[in-house]
Amino acid sequence: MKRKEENNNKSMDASGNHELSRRGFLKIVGVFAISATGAGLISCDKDTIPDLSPGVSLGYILVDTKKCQGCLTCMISCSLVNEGCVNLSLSRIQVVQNTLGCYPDNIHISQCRQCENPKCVDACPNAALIIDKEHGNVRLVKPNNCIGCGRCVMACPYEPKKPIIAPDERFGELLKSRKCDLCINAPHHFASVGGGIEGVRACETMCPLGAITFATEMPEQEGDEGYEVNLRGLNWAFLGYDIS
Amino acid sequence: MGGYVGKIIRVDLTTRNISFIDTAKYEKWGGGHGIGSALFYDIAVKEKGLDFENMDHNSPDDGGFHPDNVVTIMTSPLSATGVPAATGRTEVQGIGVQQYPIGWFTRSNFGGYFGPMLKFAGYDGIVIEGASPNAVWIDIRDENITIRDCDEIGLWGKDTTETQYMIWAYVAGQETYGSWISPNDTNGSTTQRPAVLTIGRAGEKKSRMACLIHSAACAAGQGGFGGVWGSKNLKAISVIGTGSVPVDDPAGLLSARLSNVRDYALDVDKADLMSLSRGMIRHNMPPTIMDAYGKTPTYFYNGDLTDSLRKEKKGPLSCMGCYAACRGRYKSGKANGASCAGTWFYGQADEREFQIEATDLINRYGFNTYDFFQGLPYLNDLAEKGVIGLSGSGAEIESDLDFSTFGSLEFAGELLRIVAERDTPFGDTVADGFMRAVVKWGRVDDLGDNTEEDKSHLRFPYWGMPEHHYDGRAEVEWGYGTILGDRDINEHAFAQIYLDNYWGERIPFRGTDATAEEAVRIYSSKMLPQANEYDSPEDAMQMLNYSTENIYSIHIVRLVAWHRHFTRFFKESMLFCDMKWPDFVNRSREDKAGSSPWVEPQFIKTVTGKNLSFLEGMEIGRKIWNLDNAIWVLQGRHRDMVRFSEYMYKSPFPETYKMPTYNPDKIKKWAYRDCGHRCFDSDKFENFKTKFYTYEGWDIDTGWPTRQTLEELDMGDVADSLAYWGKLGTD
Amino acid sequence: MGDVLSWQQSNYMHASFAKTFMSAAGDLAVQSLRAAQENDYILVVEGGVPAAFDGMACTLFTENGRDVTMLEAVQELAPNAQAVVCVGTCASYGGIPASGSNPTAVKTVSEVAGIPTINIPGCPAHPDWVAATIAKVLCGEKFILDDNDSRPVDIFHRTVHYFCPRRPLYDKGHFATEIGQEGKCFYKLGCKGPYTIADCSARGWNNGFNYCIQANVPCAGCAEKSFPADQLFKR
Repeated sequence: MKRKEENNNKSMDASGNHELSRRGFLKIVGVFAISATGAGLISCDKDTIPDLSPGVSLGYILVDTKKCQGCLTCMISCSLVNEGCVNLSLSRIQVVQNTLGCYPDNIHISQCRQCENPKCVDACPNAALIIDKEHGNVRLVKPNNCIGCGRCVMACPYEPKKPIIAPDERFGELLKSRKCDLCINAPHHFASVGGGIEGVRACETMCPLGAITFATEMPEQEGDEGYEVNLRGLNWAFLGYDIS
Repeated sequence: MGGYVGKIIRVDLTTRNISFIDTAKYEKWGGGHGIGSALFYDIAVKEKGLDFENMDHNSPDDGGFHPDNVVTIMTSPLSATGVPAATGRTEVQGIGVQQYPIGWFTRSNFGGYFGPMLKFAGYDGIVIEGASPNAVWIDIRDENITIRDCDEIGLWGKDTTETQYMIWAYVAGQETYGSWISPNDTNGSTTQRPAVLTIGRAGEKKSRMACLIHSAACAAGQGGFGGVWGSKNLKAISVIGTGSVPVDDPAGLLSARLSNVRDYALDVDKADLMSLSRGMIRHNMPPTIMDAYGKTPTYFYNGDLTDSLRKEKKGPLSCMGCYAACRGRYKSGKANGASCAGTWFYGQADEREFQIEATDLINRYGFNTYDFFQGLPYLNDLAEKGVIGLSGSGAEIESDLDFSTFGSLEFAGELLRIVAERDTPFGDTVADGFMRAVVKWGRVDDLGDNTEEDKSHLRFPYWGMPEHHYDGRAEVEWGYGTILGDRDINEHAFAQIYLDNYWGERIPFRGTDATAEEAVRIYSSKMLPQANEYDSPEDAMQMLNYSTENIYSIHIVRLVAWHRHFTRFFKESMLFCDMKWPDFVNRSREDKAGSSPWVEPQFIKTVTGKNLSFLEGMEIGRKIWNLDNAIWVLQGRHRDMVRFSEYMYKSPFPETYKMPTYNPDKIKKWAYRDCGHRCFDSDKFENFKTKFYTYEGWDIDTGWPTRQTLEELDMGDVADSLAYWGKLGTD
Repeated sequence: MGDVLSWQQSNYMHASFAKTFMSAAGDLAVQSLRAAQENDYILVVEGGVPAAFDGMACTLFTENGRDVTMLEAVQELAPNAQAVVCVGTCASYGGIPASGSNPTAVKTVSEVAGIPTINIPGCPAHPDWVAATIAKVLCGEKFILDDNDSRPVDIFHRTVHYFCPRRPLYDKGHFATEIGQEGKCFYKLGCKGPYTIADCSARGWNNGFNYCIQANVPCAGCAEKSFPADQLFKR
């Protein structure tokens, strides 16, 4: 942003560049030159130098779709702890199924990947969807800043899109984004330890078959399916189900 | 109050008028069956003033087939909320067409996702009356309810699987499932498919054996509601909702669910399945709340009630909010979700694969498998004896069905086709159910015990309905509950004891979960308020004494009364699933005592915020039971017709059937002893009825409720209705 | 911006009809318009389209003695245009004249023409936004429009709040309590900065000379569909 006094002398040179910008450029270069030579004497305050690395999340929800029975308890629980009511359309984990279709392709659990390079964070025009450094770099929505524009939804590269825009009764029914935050901010959490990396997550805890689990390291990704793991053991085979 | 969403849809198919009823007016009935009965009473009895007694229940256009029949489809406040095994079910009621000789005001319920989805759309239930002049289906998308002509997409004539696919495609438009869809342009979005409840060809042609099908083999099987819908020209109801269901205490509900499932159900990954089952876990239902998953279908193949030997890869399939799937989804997609008795059609097929195909087919047609389970071997036997023969053969009963191909897959397909289409005399007769068929053929004497060796009889003990395993002569609360009610009860709280013994004997090292004394003690202590009518818990145990000396006693009266009241409220109204509830004997607990009856009120409280005690719930159940009886009385019920089929008084049940009995002369007073090989004593049965009517406060001469009983239950207006029709019991 | 600017230097945008700055007038101006219609053209519309009184609240020109309304002109010209660009909030979303009682029944260009438009809102629209967008359209360069607002997403990407120089004051809770207070954040006075997607805070106005917040006035949210809100600012 150009300062007042410089703008008075603005003119364009033949190439279309602002003469001013060269001066401005020199000024900036000058500043860097000074601090580079004085590196040993001047310490860099980390609050003034922007941290440009995004920081990978320290928590991931992993699922075993083949183990899933399609009960939607994860969706019910997610909406209960986060919204205080049951609403499948507000659940941040989605199970999509065709009960008439063929196993295992007729069911799909879709959870937020806590992407390494989160497109939703990039797209947010108001820095409402952020990487929360205080909570394990989880990619989550700060609803105060959210204007409900929906860019995060459009930016999500997966189907179904992970963020959800809906009226929020805490903000007088204004549209706000919601997405999986590993239950960090769940207002109706059932456990005293709460959610997040150190706590317990609702979907994972309430799943009656143990088809959802939690990891602190980013899983190996193979296309879209990298967050599928095999959670079926000998008991599962004993029951006559497929463990492949 | 949490749980309810506030509105019930009322659809008149004759006028296409859609209006709404305030759920609040009916909340005192709980939900499900209670609200359904109350609505039926208000609309069919009071508002329409139907002349029930003069209905012709053998006419294809009267009785349940008459446009005035009111059908209710009702959820409970617990539906959709995540209460374990009480989230997914929906109750259907109305005048049935299956029962004989009178199509009682009856019920059926089904699982899956329909009830919850209805609530997400903003409705606690649907009431349907009238009949449409042309085939229609109802399209519910949140607040938009549209009655659509089937012609628009050619829906009439399609099987239950095709219908669901076609409706899903219609509602999704150009979108695909797996993404967010806004089926109702102005409202929210969802990734879910619409929940569809539909009839197949069987219902379209008004078979009395037709059922309602939802999702994969979730069926409202009894009562012939498929045929009732067919008579209304109603093909399907589709519902998609994007709204919320309120819950009073969300964290409390989740905590309650978590502790109940953790403490009373098996951990599928960590439990020591081998030692717990002492051999095999995959036994038949009903599992208690603690039972594990893997309740894959039990195909009654060639008389062997074995577990599914479907070799293909499979995963579990459960209804919404259940913690332990009793159904499966298969690599072939064939007969997904078919479970239990729903897999017993065509157990005599030449190959097991044919039975699986036939199961898929019968669900597509939308036929009730119960009837065919008993009826098909009987027909085959008649054919083998030459009683049924091909047209022109001169046989007593002519059919176009070639029984020489019985056992082949083609035979099953042809059988279902001709019964569904009703375009031949044989198919048309069978489509009205096996009871009416034998009446028409003059073969009522064929009713009787059917064994593996001898299939020449028809096991239809009551109200023209088949029985499936739980014979009333042995398990009396099943028989009594049915004959004093409207239909084969299909409520397994006590049948679990029989099954425990059945599998205990057949599976190596399994044994029973509890000794007879342990089981009876646990059960009877939980059977409030009847248990409190005894001086001591020891005395209360007599309620579970199935010995022949005891089965006509006041103790069994209390057993039956407890069961009817409990099921009317907790299972049929609050919709706790029969597969998992009540939790009485629980083998994962050291003291073997399950979480019923204290946990049901806990769930009701966290969802609705209401402090409804178990006893209060039982009293509502008693009220509903009385209302139902009043409606049956208006339909023409009299104690003289409350009779089993004659063979139940003449032939002993030919199988062993172990139930707990008390024998004071033995050292082990309580033991599981054979209660089979006996039949009812007609006079003693009549005496039992008198005791039962006395206990319930009904007129002992007629079985009709009295004014005093009804007014005590705050149903003085029901007493007035009965008086108006000259059917009020005298004290 | 470099490409477009250099393009502007070497080419020029030919406006066949532009009331405010074309040199022709009267019949000559109209002839120029009609001639342009014979070939490909881009329609750029500024202002909402009044539909009341048969559109007579705004007449564009007189042709053969007959007054041609803006309504008629837009309806005639829009369908055959290669692109329709709305300049300003009024053309894009209705803006001030369409608010309140809307006595002249002002509609958006998109409503009147029945086709989607490329919207460059703003009251006024920033000349940089207009020039860049029209240049891209003329060059045939692909750009993406926002699903809901039909604004180019590369220009309308971050909120006014995102780059606002008063963010540190917002973050620390130093809020102004009255209009005119210096050096405070206007959030509590109803500043629409957090809800307005426009790059004013980064780009500035009048060649970067100044802009609303720097002029000590809260953001009025003039580039959004909701402009003007019932009450722009509050005490």
